[in-house]
Amino acid sequence: MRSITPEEVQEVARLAGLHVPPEKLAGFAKGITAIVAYMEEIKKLPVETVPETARLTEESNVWREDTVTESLSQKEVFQNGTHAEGYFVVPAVLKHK
Amino acid sequence: MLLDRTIAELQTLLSSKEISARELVEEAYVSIEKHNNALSAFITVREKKDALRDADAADNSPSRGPLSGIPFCLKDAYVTKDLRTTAGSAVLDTFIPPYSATVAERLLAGGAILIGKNNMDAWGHGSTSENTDYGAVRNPWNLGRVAGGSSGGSAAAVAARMAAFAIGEDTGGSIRAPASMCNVTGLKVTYGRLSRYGAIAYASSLDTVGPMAKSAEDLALVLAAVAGADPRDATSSRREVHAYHRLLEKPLAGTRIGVPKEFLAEELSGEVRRAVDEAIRTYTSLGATIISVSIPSLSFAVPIYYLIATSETSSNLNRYDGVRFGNGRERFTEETMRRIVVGTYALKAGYHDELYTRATKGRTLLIREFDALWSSCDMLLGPTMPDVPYKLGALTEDPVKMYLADIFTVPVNLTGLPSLALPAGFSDDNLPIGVQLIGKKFDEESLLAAGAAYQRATKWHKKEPAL
Repeated sequence: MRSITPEEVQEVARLAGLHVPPEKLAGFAKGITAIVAYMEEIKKLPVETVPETARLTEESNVWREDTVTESLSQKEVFQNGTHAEGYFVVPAVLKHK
Repeated sequence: MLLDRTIAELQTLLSSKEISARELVEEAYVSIEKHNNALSAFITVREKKDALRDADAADNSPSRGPLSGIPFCLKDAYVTKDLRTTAGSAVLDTFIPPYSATVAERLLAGGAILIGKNNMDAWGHGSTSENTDYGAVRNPWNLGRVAGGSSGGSAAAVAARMAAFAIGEDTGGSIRAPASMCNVTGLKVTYGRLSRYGAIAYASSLDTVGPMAKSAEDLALVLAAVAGADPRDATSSRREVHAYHRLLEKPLAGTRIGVPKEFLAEELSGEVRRAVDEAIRTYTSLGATIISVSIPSLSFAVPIYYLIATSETSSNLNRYDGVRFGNGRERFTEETMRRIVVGTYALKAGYHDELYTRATKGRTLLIREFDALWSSCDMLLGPTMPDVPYKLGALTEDPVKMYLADIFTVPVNLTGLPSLALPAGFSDDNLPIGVQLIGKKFDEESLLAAGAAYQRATKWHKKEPAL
């Protein structure tokens, strides 16, 4: 059984934009190891020649007319952000020299 | 109480002006005042004056539909314009949606009266409504027990007469589990039967929108009012919606009901087994033929489900960046963080094929096994939960133990089939036990008719909790 280390958990959490407090990492790793170990039961499934199921819907290529329809107002768009007067502050992506 | 009655009975009284919608709303708010502190069924209750204003409008409206003036509530997974929506999470504690879910719009357009937003496991992540930032929902039948989840608040609200019906959401059993634990009737529809537009997504290939009420008859009315294609949900089915409430008298004689032997496995508690056996006897007495069938891959359903659901939720919850709306991601609960991490891990390069892809292939196997049953069966019968309602805290320490409680519900979501959860009896401790009828795709009408027949022959669904 594969054991997931606290370092692995921290790395995966980073990829998912999550920060696990250092004191909780060991507990998290233990819990996630148990969950993944249980899920690895599926390795016993005889699925070598079985196709994947990606979706259940019968529908495909649902189109709409290329016409302009009503949209949210600017006020509505910004109302749940930190600067409702008309902009979002995003985390910096590029570093300033 | 007026709210003990069926929706059809209430509509007859409203139409003849023997009662007013105002009276129904007043009754709902009295129940909330008396019991919501103990139950935590609601996260947000609308201002009574607003609900009463809507009630007066319904009373004075020249045109009435079947749901006109009927009080209802929504699981807090459905966005409601200008009314706070949290999905049970502190991440959305102050979120005021700028639009409403299709199911909400259709109900409001039909004159139904929104009372409030129900407590739930955050993002749908749970089977007990304990994974909420708003206090665990208590079971109206025993306050030391869980109400089931993730639509626990909706189930508790219906049981406690805080509304005539609720809209819950079922991804892995989240309507059926709380329905069975609270002695109410709940319908998981065929995937695509009801629009998911405005339903805060947990796992997009599994999520379904569905009604919860005191009877199959009530569910049929609600379903007929809200089902059907929605251009804003590309997965919603364009198949015709039937008048389910007019198709409930279909006799059961000759109906072939399969009971999968894996549903009667050792995990099943003795008390649940007795209730299932009793339901089998009732259906036999109604003229159905009971057939023993098999779903060989059933024991893999839980790992298949959790791999797919956690992978999908790790993607869906990416949007909560604390920038355009909501609080920061550090406000996620531990269980939610665990699911995101597990899902991200399962999709990671190196593990993607052996975990996620394998699970999607296992899903195909299950779909084939269920498909094979319809040549000999019209529907299937089995338990919803392996045990009676759990004590608070019994499952929260061990995530795998919590996940295993979904053994009988998740296969239905993986295959996209409809399932009706029906009250089927009580334990020696007076805790509710439910069963589920699983049907062919888009055959909600057969399930609802079979449920209505069962409820004409039994009285479980009429019993009320002593609050």
